[in-house]
Amino acid sequence: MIDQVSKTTRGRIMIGIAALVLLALAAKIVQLQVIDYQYYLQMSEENRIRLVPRTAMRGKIVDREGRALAQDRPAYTVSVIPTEVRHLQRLSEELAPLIDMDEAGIEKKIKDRRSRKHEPVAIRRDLAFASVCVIEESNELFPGVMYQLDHARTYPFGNVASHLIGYTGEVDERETQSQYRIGSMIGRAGVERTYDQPLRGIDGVDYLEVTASGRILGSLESKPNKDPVPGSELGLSLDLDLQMLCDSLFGDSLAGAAVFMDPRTGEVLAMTSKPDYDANLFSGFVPRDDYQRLASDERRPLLDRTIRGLYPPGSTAKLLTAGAALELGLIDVNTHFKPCYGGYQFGNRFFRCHKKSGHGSQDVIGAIEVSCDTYFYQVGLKLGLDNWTDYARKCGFDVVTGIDVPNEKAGHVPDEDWYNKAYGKYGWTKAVLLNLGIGQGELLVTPLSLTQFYAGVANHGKVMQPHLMRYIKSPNGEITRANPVVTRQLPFSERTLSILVEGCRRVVEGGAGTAARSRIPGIPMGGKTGTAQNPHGNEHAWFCGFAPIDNPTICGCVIVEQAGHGSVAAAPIVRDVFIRHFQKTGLLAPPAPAPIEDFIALEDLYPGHLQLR
Amino acid sequence: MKIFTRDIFNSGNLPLFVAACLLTIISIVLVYSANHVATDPRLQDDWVKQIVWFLLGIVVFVATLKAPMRFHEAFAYVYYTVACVLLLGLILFGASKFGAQRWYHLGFFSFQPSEVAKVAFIFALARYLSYSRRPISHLRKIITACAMCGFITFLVLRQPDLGSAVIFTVVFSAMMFWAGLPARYLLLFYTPVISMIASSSMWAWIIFFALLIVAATLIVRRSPTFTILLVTLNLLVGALSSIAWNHLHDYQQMRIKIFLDPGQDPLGAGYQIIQSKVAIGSGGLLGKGYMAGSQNKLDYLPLRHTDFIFSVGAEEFGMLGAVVILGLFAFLFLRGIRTAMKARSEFMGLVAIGAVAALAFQMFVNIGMVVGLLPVAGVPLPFVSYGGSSLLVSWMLLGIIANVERNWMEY
Repeated sequence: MIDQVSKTTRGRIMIGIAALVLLALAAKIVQLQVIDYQYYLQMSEENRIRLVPRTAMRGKIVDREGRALAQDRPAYTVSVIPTEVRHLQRLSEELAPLIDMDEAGIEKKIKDRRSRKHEPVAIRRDLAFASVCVIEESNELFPGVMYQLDHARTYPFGNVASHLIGYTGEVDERETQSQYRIGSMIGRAGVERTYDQPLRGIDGVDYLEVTASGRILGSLESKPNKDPVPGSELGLSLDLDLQMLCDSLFGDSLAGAAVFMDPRTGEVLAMTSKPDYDANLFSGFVPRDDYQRLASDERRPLLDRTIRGLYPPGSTAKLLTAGAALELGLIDVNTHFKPCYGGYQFGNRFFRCHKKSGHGSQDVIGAIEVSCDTYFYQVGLKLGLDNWTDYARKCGFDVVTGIDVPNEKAGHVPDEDWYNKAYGKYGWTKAVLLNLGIGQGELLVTPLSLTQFYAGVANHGKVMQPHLMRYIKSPNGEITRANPVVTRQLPFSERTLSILVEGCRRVVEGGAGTAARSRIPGIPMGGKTGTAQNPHGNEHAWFCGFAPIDNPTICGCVIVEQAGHGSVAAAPIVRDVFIRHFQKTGLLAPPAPAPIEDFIALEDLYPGHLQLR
Repeated sequence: MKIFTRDIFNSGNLPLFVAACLLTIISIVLVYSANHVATDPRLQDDWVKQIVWFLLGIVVFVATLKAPMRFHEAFAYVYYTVACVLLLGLILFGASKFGAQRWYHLGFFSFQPSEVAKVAFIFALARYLSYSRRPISHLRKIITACAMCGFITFLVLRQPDLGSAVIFTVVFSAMMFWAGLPARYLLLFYTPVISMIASSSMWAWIIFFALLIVAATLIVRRSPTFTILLVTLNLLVGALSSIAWNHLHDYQQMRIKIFLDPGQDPLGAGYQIIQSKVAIGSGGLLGKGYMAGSQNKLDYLPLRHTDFIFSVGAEEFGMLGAVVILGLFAFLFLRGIRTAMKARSEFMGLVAIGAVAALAFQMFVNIGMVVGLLPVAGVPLPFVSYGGSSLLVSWMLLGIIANVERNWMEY
C-alpha cells in the first residue's frame, strides 16, 4: 500500500529529476546555439569538414615458411565526392578516357551512393601514375575529384591456391554491416573472407577543412587526424613448394582437385582446384569482360572443387563398406565370399567387376588390395542399407568438415527415405546396395571430406578438423595460434582400423596392388585407388593415400576428372607430392640439382665451340 | 464524434491533448522539410504518411482513454504474455533489417513489437506491484518484479535492440521507486552497471569506488551490511567484466567502444554526431528559417527524418524552436507526474508513472544523443520522429495518462 504523504514526496522527486534532465539538455543547447554559435555557423556556411579516410594496410598472408601469398602494395585511387560534382555528365565524359573506364560506369558509381554523399567514392583503384599526374595538373577542371595513395592487393603467385586464398572486393551500399565503410575493401572469398576482420586493420581518417568551392584549408584544429592501424599477418599451414608442385602436376589441361593435409593436426599443406584463375584479376579494378569470361567458362574455373565439388568416391569408399562390416561382425579378416569370376550375379542382373577375368577368392585385405568389386557387392548386401547409411554418417560424409574457407558443401549420403522419395516406394531394389558398396551411385563426397576420412583412418580413428590458419600475428607482435580440433572419432575399433590400413598398405606395397606403380622406395605408404563413374563422360580417377604408414605425417587425395583409372592419373600426383614432402622433412634425400643448362648457352653464344669442353 | 470530443474536452485532458497535437504537427512540418529534397522519391511522401499516422494516433488515444482501467487491470498479464510471444516469434520469424530482427512485415507497414511491449510491461508490472500484499522491499516481491523486467528485456536484447532494452529497465526503476522501493535498492541496481563501464579504465574505477563508498556511507548509514553488499557486488561485477572484456573479439570490443564513444568511429556514428552538432549550433537563436537549413538540405545530416529530426528543427527554428519542443515535453511530463500523484488507485498511479517514464526517457536519450551528450542509440523522439510504431505508441502512452486523469477518483 502506498501512503499519500510519501507519494507526494516521491512525486516531487520525480518532478525534480525531470527538471534536471530538461535543464541539462537546455544547457547543452544553449552551449551549442549561443556560446559556440559563431564556430558552428562558420563550419556550416563557409567551411565543410571533409573526412578523408586513410585505408589501413591489409595484413599479409604467408605460407608455412613465411613466403607472401597475398600482400598490399601502394597504388593510386581516384575518388569523387558526390555532393561537389556540378555536372555529372560532363565530369564523366572528361574523366573516362583518363582513367580507362566507360562513362556509364563512372556515373553509376556516383549515383549508386545514396547516403554519405559528402564522402569520397572510390571510382577507380590502382590507377597508373601518368593518369594521376594529368588529374593533378588539371585539378580545377575536375571539382570534387581527388586522388589518394591507397593500397592494392596483389597475389605474387597468381593462380597458385587462388581458390583458398580468395580475393577482396569493395563494400557496397547494399551491405549494411555498420563497422565497414562503403567503398573499403573486404575479403570476398577464401581465407581473405574468413579472416577479414584481423586482416583488415583499422582505417584512419584525416579531417580536412574545405571551403564551399572545394578548396582545402588544412587539417581541422579541433579534431586530430587518426592514423590507420595495419592489419594482422595471417600465417597459413600451406606449403608453397607442395602447392606449386601439385598445381604443376595437373598442368593446364587436367581438371580436378587435390588436398594434402597433416593427419595428426588437420593442417592443410596443399589444396589444388583445377582449372583455376589468377586472383590478381580481382584486386583493385576488375574489368567486366574478365569476370564475364571466367564466370561463363564451361570448365568452371571459379568453382573450388576441393570443397564444393561433389563426386562419387568410387572404390575409395570400399574402406567404409569394409570397416562397417568388420565393426558389426558381419565379416572378419578371413571371410571369403563367392569367388570373383569377373562379376556377381544378383537376381537377373550381372554386376561386373573391373577385372574381366576375375580375382578369384579373396579375403577382405586382398579384396582391398585388388579392389575387387565382386567381393564388395557381397559385403554391401550383407551390410544392408540402414547399416551402410549409419556408418557413412558416423564417418562424417554428410556434413561439412568445417575448414576455415567459406561456402563448403556437405556430401550426400542417401538413405531409405531418400530412395523412396527419388524413385517411389517400390521403385528401387536392393541392387542400389551393390553400387553403394563399391562407392558408385548416389553417395557424393567432396575431395576434402574424403581426405579427412582417410586422414582419420591413418590417424588411429581420430578425425581432425582441416584448417589453413596456423597463426595470426597482430602489428604489435601478439600471436594467436590455431589449436588442432578433433572433429570426431571414426566408428571403428583399433583392430578394424589395422585391417583397413593393412589393406591400404597392400594397395601400394603388395604385388597385386592397384597402385603398385606409385611406390616410394624407402617410405612405406598406404592408399586406395578409385574410378568413379561419370554420367557426363569418361570416368574420374581417384587416389587417396598416406605415409609413412606407421606414423603418417601426410595424407592426400587427388581426383582427376575424366581421366580413367586412379592408378594411372591420380596416384602419381600423390606420390610426387609425397616425395617432395619427405625430401623437405629429411626422410628422403634432397632432389638432385637441376641439370645445368650452360651447354646450350655456350653453344648459342659460340657456335661450333662445344667440342672445346 | 461527440463521444470523442466529450472525452477529450471534458475530462481535464485538453491541455495534454493540445500539447501532444502540437508536437505531432511540428513533426509533420519537420518531416516535410527534411525530405522535400530527398533524392529517393519514396521518402518525399513521408510527411503525408505521418499525417495518416497522426490521425490514427488520435483514434488510438481516444480508444486508450475510453477503455476502462479495470479491463486493462484484468488483462495485464495477458498483454504481457502476448508481448513476450510476439518478441519470441521475432527471434524465429522476424524480418532482418540492418542486421537486427526488430520488425514484423505486414505488407503496408512494419510492426515493431518492442514498442507495444513497453505498454504491456507497464500494465503487467503495475498490476503485480499493486496486487501483491507483501511490502515492496520484501525480497520475493523484488525478485519477481526483476524477473518480469529481466525476461522481457532479455528478449529485446536478443534482437538486438539495446536502446529499447534500456527503456524497460528505466521504466521498471521508476515504477519500483513509485511503489515505495527505497532509493538504496536502486543504487544496488544501477551502480554495478556504472562499475562495469568504469572498470575499463583503472583510474575511473578507483574514482568510482571512492565515490561509491562515500555515497553508501552517507545514504545508507543505518545498514552496514547493505554497504558491504553494495561494495562487494560492485567489485565483483567490475572484476568479472574486465575478465569478460579480454575474452571478447577485437571487433566486439570495437563495437562497444564505438557505442560509448562515437568519436572512435569518425566515419560512422561519430560523423553523424559532428554533423548534427553543426546543424544545431549553426541554427543560433532564431534559426535559419523553414526549409532553409543548409546542413539539412545539403544532405549532411543522416537519418534526419527519424532519429535526427530534432537537429532539423533546431537548425531551422533555432533555440526558439528547440525550447518550444522541450517546453511542450516538460508540460507533458509535469501533467503526467501530477496525474500519477493524484490517482487514488495504486494501479493507476503506477501505470501513469510508467507511461511518463517511458516518454521522458526516450526524449532524454534522443535529444541527448543529437546534441552530443549521450552515445548514439537508435531511439526515436516521441511524437516527433517519423514512424508509425513510435507515433502510435506515444499516443497510446498519452492515452493511458489521460485515462488515469479522467478516473483519478476511482479506487
